[in-house]
Amino acid sequence: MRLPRIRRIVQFCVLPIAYIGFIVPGIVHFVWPSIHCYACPLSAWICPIGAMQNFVKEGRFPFFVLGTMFGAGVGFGRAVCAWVCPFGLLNDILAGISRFRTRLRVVELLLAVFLALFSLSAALVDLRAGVAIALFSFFALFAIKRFYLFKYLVLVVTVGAAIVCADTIFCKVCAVATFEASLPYAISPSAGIPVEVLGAPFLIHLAVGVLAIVGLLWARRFWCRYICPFGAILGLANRFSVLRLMRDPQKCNPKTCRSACIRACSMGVTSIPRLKSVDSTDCIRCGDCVDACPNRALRLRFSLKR
Amino acid sequence: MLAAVVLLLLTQVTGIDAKVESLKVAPSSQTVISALIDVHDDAAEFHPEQCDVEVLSGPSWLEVASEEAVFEPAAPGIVRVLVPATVNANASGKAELRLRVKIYYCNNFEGWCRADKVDVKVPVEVVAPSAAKIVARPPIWTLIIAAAFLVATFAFFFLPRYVRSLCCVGFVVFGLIGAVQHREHIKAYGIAKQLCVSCIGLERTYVLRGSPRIAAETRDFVASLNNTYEIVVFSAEWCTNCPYAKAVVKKMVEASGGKLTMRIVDVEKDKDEAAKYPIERGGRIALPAVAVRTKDGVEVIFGAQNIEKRLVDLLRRLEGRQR
Repeated sequence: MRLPRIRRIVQFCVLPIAYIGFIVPGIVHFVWPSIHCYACPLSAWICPIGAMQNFVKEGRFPFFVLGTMFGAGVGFGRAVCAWVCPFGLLNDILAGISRFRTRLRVVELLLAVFLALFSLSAALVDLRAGVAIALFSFFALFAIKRFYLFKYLVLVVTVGAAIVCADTIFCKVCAVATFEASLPYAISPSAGIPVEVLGAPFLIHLAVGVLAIVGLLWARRFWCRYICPFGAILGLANRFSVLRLMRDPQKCNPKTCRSACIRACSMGVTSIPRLKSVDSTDCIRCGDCVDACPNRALRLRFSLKR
Repeated sequence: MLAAVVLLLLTQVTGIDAKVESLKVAPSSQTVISALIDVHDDAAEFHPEQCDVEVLSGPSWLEVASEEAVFEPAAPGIVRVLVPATVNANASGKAELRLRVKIYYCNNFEGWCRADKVDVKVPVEVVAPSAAKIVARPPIWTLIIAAAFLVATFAFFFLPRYVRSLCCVGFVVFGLIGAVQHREHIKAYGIAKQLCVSCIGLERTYVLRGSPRIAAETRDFVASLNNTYEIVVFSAEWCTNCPYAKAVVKKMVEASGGKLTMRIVDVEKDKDEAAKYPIERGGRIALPAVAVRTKDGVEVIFGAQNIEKRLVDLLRRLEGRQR
């Protein structure tokens, strides 16, 4: 069986485990190794980014989240983004539907809108903090100009906003929370929690949801590539993860295949034909390039040797 | 030498400590003095009805309502004292308030009770009204550690390979050991088990700035209630909107003149009590939750948005039913 198909089957098999709260009520909570809202009525797992913000805003160092995140990272690197993340599956499905070509202009515009929404939600809690975050993040966005680094900016701003506003600001602009928590609670009449449908927090959530869908239609894996702060942290562990993407330089010949791996890569990693072991922080070990390579020069394997 | 050791042991065993936050107040406002009293005994059980607060000295412009002091357990062996106070219009400058707190506590396991007194000095500073906020912010060292971690994150790209591998494995070991040491796995369980309504943006965040105001109609209504009701406010340490909900309910209870009584239940520490009330939504306890207990049963409202109006509507409905 080909790798993308195996991956799709794994993704669908993992889905009921991610939403195990539905099947096994009262299961002990663990940190789910991907972004996955803890407020989702069906989920029994802890979102690492949500828990991290909650710890930071209380003045605690997030040891638990750090340990479990890097635990997943050392084992599998960013493979969790491609194989177990429920939102990653939505990313993949929308990438399959999309017929648009990636345009950096559109991406830049969407990222600017995301930052505006982030600053707005911070401003609703603390006006000065909102203005400071807007100034810092917009300056950083137009200064770095390398959009794959944008997720590190989001990570910095997330932690900074949790400290300054003493609130979980990222959760208020998280598209995962829109689809897993905000919309279910707003739609469900039996929830009993009064969601103010015309209030600012719900409208911001809706806007981020629309932004994510538009972004996913325009750029493959838009959320994972540019925004997800969890992917940012996990990307660092890619360089020493046990699961790795290896390239055989003897077999590889980019001239004959016109860099099929780069064209197949949904994360836009361009360094595949140059490295022996693809350790880019953006590589999610999805195996699309392995499947696309006509020379069979690439393979995914577990190895401790560098 | 021996005397020194005995003295050290005695101070450790018998002494109780107080930790206070400096108070920033605005002229003509109401505030709450908060202090944490540590009795150095995790098994201690507090008896709030026998604890009291006495004002030793303080500025003339600060009226401390020491008889309205609230004692609530904050952590094992630690009790939080909340004393409401009113600041007059002529307040200015800095001053020091000295309180004597009497704590009565028992160790049921060893079978003894004792009353200890501790003097608490609260620095009070008068600031302009806009800057007088009660916002619980994490201490500055969190900022420093977080900044160091983020700098380390970027330094990762430039470190030699073996240093990076070592760092990464170090993060796992350090993280998991630290988590168990600081009991963060239990805390994380609590965070996921309860749903903070404002944390994920289901409603606005209401930051408690000073003391909230309630409408004159609400005051009149709660004062004219025919029956008595017990209001239970459910909260958690990390819940963002809970302080606001608690403050509004407290104001209404004060205005009711004894018709309403209030009880605060921390859902993480008092799980058995929380389990008696129907406050679970979507498999988790939604916070802040305000429950009104009547003879027929319990009515619950969630969230801090319009809480004053919704609580008045609920009470009006209950009054109509019982009349």
